[in-house]
Amino acid sequence: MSEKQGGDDKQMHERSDRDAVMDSLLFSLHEQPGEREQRVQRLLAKYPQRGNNTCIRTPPIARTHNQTTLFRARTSRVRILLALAAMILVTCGVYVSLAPPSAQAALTRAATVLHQPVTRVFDVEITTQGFVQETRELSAKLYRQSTDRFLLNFENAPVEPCIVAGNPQRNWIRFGRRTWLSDEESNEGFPNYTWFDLVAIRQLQFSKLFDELPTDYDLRWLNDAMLPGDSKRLYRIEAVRRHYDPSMPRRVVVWIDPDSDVTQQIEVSMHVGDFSVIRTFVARFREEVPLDEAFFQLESNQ
Amino acid sequence: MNQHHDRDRKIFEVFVRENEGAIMAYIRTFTRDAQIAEDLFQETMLIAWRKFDEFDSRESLSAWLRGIAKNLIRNAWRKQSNDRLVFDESTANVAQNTIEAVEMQGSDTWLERLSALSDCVSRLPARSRKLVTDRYSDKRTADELALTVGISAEAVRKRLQRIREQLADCIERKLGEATG
Repeated sequence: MSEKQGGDDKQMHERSDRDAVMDSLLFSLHEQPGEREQRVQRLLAKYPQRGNNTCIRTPPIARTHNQTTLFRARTSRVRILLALAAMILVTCGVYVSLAPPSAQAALTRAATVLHQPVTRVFDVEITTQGFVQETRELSAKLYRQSTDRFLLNFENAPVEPCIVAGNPQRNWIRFGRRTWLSDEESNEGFPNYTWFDLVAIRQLQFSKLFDELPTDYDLRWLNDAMLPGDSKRLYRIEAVRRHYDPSMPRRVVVWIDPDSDVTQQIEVSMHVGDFSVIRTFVARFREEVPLDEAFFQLESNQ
Repeated sequence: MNQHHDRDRKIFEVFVRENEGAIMAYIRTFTRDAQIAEDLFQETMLIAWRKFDEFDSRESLSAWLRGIAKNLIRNAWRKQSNDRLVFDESTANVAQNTIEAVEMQGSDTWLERLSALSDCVSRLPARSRKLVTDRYSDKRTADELALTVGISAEAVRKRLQRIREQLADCIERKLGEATG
């Protein structure tokens, strides 16, 4: 502790309230990351083990707010939002996973739902922000199969398969506890896509974000927002988590084109991996692309 | 059991990382002594973690943590034999309101939420900005700064106080705009 903050102690009594707060905020602003990290590490070294039944509790069902009415009036859009936002969540592995099946078993499960024609396909650009930056560029395609079923296919990043624990029937597959593997890890045998459907998603905790809005989230709705790099005016809906719960996204931002009702971008900030970092995933939906029916043949993905 | 312990420990780490910036800022309002601030910070976080089951999740976690910190600060202030820590209810209220307003910024980290202040600092005249950097980034005392600036330590303190006043006006305006 070599900080020389104590140098002006004799003035402590003379400071105004505002001055004292500003002094503190300035120290906070100028603190070096190393200092902060050392402080965190010193505290972590004193970690106290809590009792067996003292896990962080999930906040109770939140109060219903006025915005619910607003959202219910936009049911069709919400369905799209729900599915797309959950896509990011499912993809990024927020939920508690069970033991992953083999890649082949996962693929077989996926194949059981490949019986409906794909209706639309969109290019998806995925970027990350936060403490950990992804070094590679990620690209994906969003395949829409009816209004309730979607598939996100990573074109350059294999993901790890496992089962959706939030679905009581356990009949739906999600891939990607870690979403994508690092270059050093073996990707052999892992598929690079994730399926999800609206029914399954509705049973996941995150569905409350849209179904019972806002569930533990503060909602900010802007009708006239501009997406960086885009001149069009969009709806911008931001949901910010009100209470502490690392298993839930900290913030979700959805941008919607008011003319077409099509989502343009989704940003999800959440704890990932070992819960120790917050990462923001940004999925920007680009051009619609021609259908590729062959993709939905199991053989073409093996 | 080990798995449970590991997960708990990781959540504790998240808990600490998510809240340390705001809690330290709150505690530092009452003391400029780094050691006292860190002791209070550690005690706050450890007590909060042990008592987490008492936390009503319908309330704000940040406000709950500040409540614990406030009690510890007040107790330490009563017990101390010097004036390295000064507690005052009105200061506590101003600190609480300001930090709450900063936390309303939707960014992911405490530092990002302080971007309004960072912006205010960047708008200061170069001479004032340098003084702020010397004081807060390089952690130089008023006496040390007096030697380099060529004015008395008291004049340095006054100058810094005026700068903080400007910054307080600026950040209040910015946070007010952001929260509508």
